[in-house]
Amino acid sequence: MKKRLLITVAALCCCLSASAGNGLFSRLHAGLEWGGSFTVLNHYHYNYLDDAVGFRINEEAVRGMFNLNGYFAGYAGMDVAKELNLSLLLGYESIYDGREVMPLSIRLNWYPSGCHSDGLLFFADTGSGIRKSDSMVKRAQIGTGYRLSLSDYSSLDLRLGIRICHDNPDVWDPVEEEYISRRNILRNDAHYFALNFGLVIEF
Amino acid sequence: MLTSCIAETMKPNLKIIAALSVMFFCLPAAGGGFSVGTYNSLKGFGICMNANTESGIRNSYTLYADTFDVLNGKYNTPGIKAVFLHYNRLAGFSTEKARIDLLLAPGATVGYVRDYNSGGHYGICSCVDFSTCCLASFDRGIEIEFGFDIELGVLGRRLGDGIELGLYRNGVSRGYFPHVKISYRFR
Repeated sequence: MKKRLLITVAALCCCLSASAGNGLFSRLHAGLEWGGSFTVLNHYHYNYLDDAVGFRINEEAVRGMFNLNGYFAGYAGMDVAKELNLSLLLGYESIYDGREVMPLSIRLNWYPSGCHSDGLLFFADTGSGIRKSDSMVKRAQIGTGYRLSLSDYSSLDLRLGIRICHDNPDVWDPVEEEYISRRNILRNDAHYFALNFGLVIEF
Repeated sequence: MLTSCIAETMKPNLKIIAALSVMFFCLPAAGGGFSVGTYNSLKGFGICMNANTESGIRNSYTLYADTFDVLNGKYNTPGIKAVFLHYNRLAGFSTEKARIDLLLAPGATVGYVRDYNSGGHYGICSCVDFSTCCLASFDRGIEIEFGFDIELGVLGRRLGDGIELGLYRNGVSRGYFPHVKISYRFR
């Protein structure tokens, strides 16, 4: 995460020196976004020692599902070029049933028609989901959308994206009907694929 | 006879939803133009219609699904609320492409919802609303409203053979949740 952040800051400095603009403050923007996400696919790989049966169990599978969750976030960013915007995003998101995180991500937005004109947009972001108790969730998203320019400095975006999250969830033992103790878990990787849709107001 | 047959076959909560929907869609539009859009909040999601009169009054009608205990996964089915707000303009200014107004409104809310201490059971709430919002109206016809509202009222739910009336707590305790309405202005 730190290495990714350093590379991004270095890229930002290069872009700033090459970009044209009216001034620094006119290129700073902030916004709010909210929306829903449909988690449609779950890949998991669990490997744990089951005390009840006395041997190791290895499970790996991909399963389809339909789980509706929500998210909202605030972000602040800068137009690093005529068509590029780099933002830092912090919010609150539910990635799966009972798994809520605070995502902290860096997002790159590309507006082929210009940062403040009507037109298609494309974005990609990557970061972590912070939780109080457990390990962090790694997340990444790519997507597209449409920007409606409301004024010189404000706009409304409709966005659609595909989000991937990597988590280390607790493993449920269906026989004992309890969670496997963490000290018995050798591997508990889970990936969640979701379709995100949302609205963004930028000002 | 047809409507009575339809009413007989519908479940009670669907009857209420149908009645609220009829009330919402049969409202006349005011002379100063109107806008239609979406209502977005942690309290719920729905649709709204705003009618502006020529004297500067803005009447707002909102119908939304109340997502109390739904967003956290406790229950799967939301409640439903209909809200009427009578906005008065307090202050405002215009920029090149937009007009920003500060509005204050009294209003009323009725709904079929759960409450904080209703044990997951639905009841009918009837409240007086107080709302304040900042409205941005852009030249291209889009209106964005950001505001807060507090609902003071009662919730009545069936308890055995009788009805229990109590304070509708969510109307006050969730008053700090903001709402955002995004609408398109037709004229």
